Amino acid sequence: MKSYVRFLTFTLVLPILIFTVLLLVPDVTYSAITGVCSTCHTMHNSFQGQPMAKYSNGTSKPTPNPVLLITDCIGCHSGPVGDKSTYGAPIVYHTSNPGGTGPGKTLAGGDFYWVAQSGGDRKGHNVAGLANQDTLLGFTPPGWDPNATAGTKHVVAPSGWTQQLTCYGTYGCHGWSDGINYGLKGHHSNLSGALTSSDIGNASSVGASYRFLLGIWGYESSDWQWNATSATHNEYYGVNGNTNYSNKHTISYLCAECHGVFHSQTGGSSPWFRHPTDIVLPGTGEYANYNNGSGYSLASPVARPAIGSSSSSTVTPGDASTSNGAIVMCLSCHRAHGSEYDSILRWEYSNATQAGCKVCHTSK
Amino acid sequence: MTNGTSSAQPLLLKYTCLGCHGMGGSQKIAYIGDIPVPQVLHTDPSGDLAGGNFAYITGAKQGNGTNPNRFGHNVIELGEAFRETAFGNDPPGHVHSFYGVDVRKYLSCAGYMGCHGDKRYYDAPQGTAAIKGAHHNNLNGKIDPPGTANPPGYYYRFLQGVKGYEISDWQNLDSTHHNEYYGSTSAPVNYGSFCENCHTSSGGVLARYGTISNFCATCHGNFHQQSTVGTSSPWLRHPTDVVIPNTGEFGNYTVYDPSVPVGRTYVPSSPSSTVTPGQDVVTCLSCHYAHAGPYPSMLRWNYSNVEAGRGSVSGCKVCHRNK
Repeated sequence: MKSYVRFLTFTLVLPILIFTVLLLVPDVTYSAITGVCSTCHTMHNSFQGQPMAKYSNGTSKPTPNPVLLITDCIGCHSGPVGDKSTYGAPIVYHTSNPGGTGPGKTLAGGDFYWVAQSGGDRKGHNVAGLANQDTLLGFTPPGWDPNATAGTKHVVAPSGWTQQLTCYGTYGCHGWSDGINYGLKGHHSNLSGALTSSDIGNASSVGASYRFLLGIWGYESSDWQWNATSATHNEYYGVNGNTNYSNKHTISYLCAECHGVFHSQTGGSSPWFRHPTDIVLPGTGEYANYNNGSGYSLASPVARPAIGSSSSSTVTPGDASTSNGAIVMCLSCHRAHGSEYDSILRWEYSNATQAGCKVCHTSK
Repeated sequence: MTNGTSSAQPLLLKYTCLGCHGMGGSQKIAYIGDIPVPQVLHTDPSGDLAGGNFAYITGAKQGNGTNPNRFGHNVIELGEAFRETAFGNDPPGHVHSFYGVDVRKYLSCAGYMGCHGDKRYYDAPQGTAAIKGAHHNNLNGKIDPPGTANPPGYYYRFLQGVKGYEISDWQNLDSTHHNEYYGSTSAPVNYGSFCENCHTSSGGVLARYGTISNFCATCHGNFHQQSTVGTSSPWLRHPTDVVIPNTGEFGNYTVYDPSVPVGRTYVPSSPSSTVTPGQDVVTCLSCHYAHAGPYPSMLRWNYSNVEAGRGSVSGCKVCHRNK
């Protein structure tokens, strides 16, 4: 009899009870970001009669910031050491030399520290507020080709760039792009883990995109790769043969929105004119021995033709369809934000070791 | 015959403002004879009236914080010991200076540097004299007089020019029993950019548009005017006198929560339990008490405990439901 009661309890009563409790929970959809509102926001930019807003460098700012924020992108996402700022935000700009890129030093995107230094133009994206305009390139990104990514949300006029690169917006990488002042507006609608939303039609899509990169797919490592290993890391999305960028969800498509020539004029097949991206890493020859068969390389990562529910240490050259597959991407060689190396590379190109080009080109 | 002083009072009154309305007793509604008198300074454990309770400043009631001055408006009637020490001469967010006058010394219950009563004239008196006649020609219930030139008794809670619905027992108790605050339908009124938004031609002060937020803005204009708040998202400061959107997270605020009251774009004849996003508006009093409350910044809730992504639907999240 007791076992029968226990059976009823677990198979009938308990589920009904749980369902009832769920019904009583208010209709609330919570986002990934958590924390006290006042950590990031100030309602009136006033505390005891003094301004609450701050400049990027932490000094008091008399005028308020958009979205009632205490500080701006750089102010939130910078700090001297570690992975998070005093606001709890991932640090992309270390104010002290992090001593290199990679786990325990910088997050996955690298760091703006080096480009912010005098003469550092080649070591990162010259984002306004972090670095001056690139002395050699001016405003316009190298390889800019507005025709390479038709339909891009980054709607810079074909006549050219008229202002410096920003963190977000029309002239930036993150966020909603129709208007520089619209802002990011993704932190409270942010999703995490595997992100493969096809909806890029509204600003709320930002939070559903990989790292607030509108429309881009990927798997977000929860610690932004501060403690990354070959098994625990971001996963980037790539598509084999995406030469005309009909697929607008790959990480290389995002790069091509500003650097289109590097992607639209590659030649289509070997012999290449420019190093291709969004192309499967061949399963033959030297490529078959990617990273000496040791699996995913954090130094020369590959994109995946499918985004799994977790990251994987397995890399299968020649696989253009599964979440263990291998697609060459821009980030196979470059950091997104900045690095200690010229051309924002992941390694010292003039002295490429096994950790560099030869992770793929194993016989070179 | 007067409360705490031997001098005669204006209008032949026995008591000062606080003498009647801040007796410091244990009842939020006290009686003088058979007249019920709403108390704005008391120790009643059952709760406070809609405007809050100055007892959080004096310490007669314990607030949540270490600086009681942050719990409310430090009116001089509370005594010199409770005068504000922070700020400069002017109220936070004031559009321009008081021309060297230290408002902290003069902030009063009523009058030119107060809230209640008629202050349409530069030399308007302070204290009880500013509400001359108001108690005898007071209207109640739906307060929607034409124009702004009537005596203060014709306006919501003797706030010159302000409209609204006065609940009879001064208490915001639940979704069906509460005051109704009046707000406007458009983006923040251009407070401060034009003198006449806050001032009369005789140099006095007047909430010309009749909204409760317009009234607050006559002292705290930078928290409300378009040039310092913005006209649409992304806002620079939290807007007031702006419609609660009927889209996204805001659309879920449909039942009136007296801890986060909304304004109405019309003056109702009775309180309503319904909130209509797309029609009702944000007011200063959606977040703040008028007199004083148990939390810093005179907020209706503990701002430092409101968290995005977790916790109950309260405080900011009554409107910002998905944050």
